[in-house]
Amino acid sequence: MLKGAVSLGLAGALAALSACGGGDQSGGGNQAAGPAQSGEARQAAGNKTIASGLGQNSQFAAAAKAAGLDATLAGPGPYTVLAPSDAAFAKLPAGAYDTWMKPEARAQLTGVLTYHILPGTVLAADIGKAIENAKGKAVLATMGGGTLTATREGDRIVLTDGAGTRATVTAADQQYSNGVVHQIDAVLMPQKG
Amino acid sequence: MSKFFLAASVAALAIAVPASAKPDKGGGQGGGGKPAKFEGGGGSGKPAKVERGGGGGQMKAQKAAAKRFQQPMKQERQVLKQRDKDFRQAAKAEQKFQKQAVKSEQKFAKQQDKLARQEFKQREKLFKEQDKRDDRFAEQRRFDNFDRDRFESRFGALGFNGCPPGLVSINGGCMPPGQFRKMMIGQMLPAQYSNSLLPLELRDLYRDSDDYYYRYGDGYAYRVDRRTNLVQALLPLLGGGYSVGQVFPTSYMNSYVPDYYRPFYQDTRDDYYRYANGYIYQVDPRSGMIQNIIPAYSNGYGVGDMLPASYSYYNVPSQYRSFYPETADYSYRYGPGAIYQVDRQTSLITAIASLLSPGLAVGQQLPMGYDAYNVPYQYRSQYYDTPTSMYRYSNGSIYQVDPTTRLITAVIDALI
Repeated sequence: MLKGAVSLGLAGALAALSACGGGDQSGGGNQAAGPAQSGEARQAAGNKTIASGLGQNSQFAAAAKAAGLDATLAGPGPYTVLAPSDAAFAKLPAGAYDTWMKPEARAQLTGVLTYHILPGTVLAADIGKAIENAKGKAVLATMGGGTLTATREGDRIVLTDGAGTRATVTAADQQYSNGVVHQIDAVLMPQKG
Repeated sequence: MSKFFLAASVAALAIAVPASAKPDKGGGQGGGGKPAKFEGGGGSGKPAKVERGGGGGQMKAQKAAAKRFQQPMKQERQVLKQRDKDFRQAAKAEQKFQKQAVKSEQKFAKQQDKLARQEFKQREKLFKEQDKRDDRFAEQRRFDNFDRDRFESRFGALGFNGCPPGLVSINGGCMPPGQFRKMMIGQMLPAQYSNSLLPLELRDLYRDSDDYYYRYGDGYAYRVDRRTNLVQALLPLLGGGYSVGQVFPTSYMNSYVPDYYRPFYQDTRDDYYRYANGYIYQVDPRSGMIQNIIPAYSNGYGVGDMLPASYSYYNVPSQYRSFYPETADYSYRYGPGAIYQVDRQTSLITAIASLLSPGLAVGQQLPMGYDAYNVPYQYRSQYYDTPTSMYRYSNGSIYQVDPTTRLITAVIDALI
């Protein structure tokens, strides 16, 4: 914990320095504190969109494609996508994923997926700062209409949905031209609070 | 323990034996055993030669006697020695035996221990397995309950017509729109809709004709054949058929927002929130006008659904028009929560071109959920949070927010 704080502090100092001197310390997926220089961040994000970054092979990508959201995630955005891993989908009750992939469940699938998309570009550091400012619990609105609660545990960010399911951010700040993707380890459900 | 005593007794004997081998030291200080051969002639054991003088004779006799006395002593000593040796050997053997006994006892004990431990482990394993089975059973039940809760509460959000958002209510049941459409076409118009006219604003789009007429049924426009009164077509109405700026039907004013949305959409003096057909309507209490339509599940419709009837014209918001111009193959339509890409030939939604978050407006309080800074990369160096101002991004614009009052004070166009 202390080590984390120290490294975060160092990284923050570095970022601050780079901001002053125009160095290129920031960008490229590090979780350092401090606002990223827009130029460097854009470079780090490159020309790849979130859709091409997500690829075709994961269950999340397949679900997004079924709901027509792959076009969305190739558009201008920007969006912040919380992408559950295949292991996260495996945790769902048996058959849930297959049910969602059926055409009749299109609306439900869209609802679940848009619950994993936040407006704008929210980096892990931004969530962290929001948690601090909110004294431990920050609220994040999703495109689906519901909200998520973000808290910090150690040096990890934990997102809680309306039903109380918790997802930990396992890999953050995968930057793309139209936003950012954070990998999470559970599927969030738009549910009663 | 016994070997100790044995050893002790052996030791005692060993000490005793030499002691007894020492007679009262009359003449022979020779101790251990060499008989003094003082005679100088004559052999041992011969009776005293008395001739050699008087005094000498007596000493000789004494010496001889001593020798004679020593003789059996020698033998005795030898016997004793042998016995001693035997004893010691016996003792050693005993010790060895004892050691072995102890060893084998220990070995046996170890084996017993091992067996006991194995048995214990087996028993523990069995218990654990039983526990696991119990746990799994309980977990399954818990999970079932949890699942049931999740899905129930999902579907417990009974809206105006008793169905979850996205599903259509018919004859007391709920079903997905596609199925419903298939079912309804060719059927009689449900009785409850026979007098339900379309919302005023849609009547120009859907004009009754000599051959058919339209009725409104919970988010759908029913086109009914005049002669047969059978349903010819079913058109899903985006936004439930209502749009921003229209008057919200009073009949829906008693339909409150489902439980799980209540915390987020609470009635205020200036905003009422009502729910119908999968949408949350933000209504101005005084004028009854719809100010905003928030899809309860993004949009209630998705890829593969028919183009919603109420938006037959290009209505994409200006900041997005350059990205979504009308083309020969596709048209774009804006609906609450999204911009849809529609195939011109089939009129089906083929993609969600862009997702839209509930809009922000200058003068409004920053709604819940904008705790985190979310400005796009290319604007971050320009617009970043300071103690005097915050910046939040929504739908193509960056909004400046006062951190203390949380009021949105300005909007900056951010061409994406």
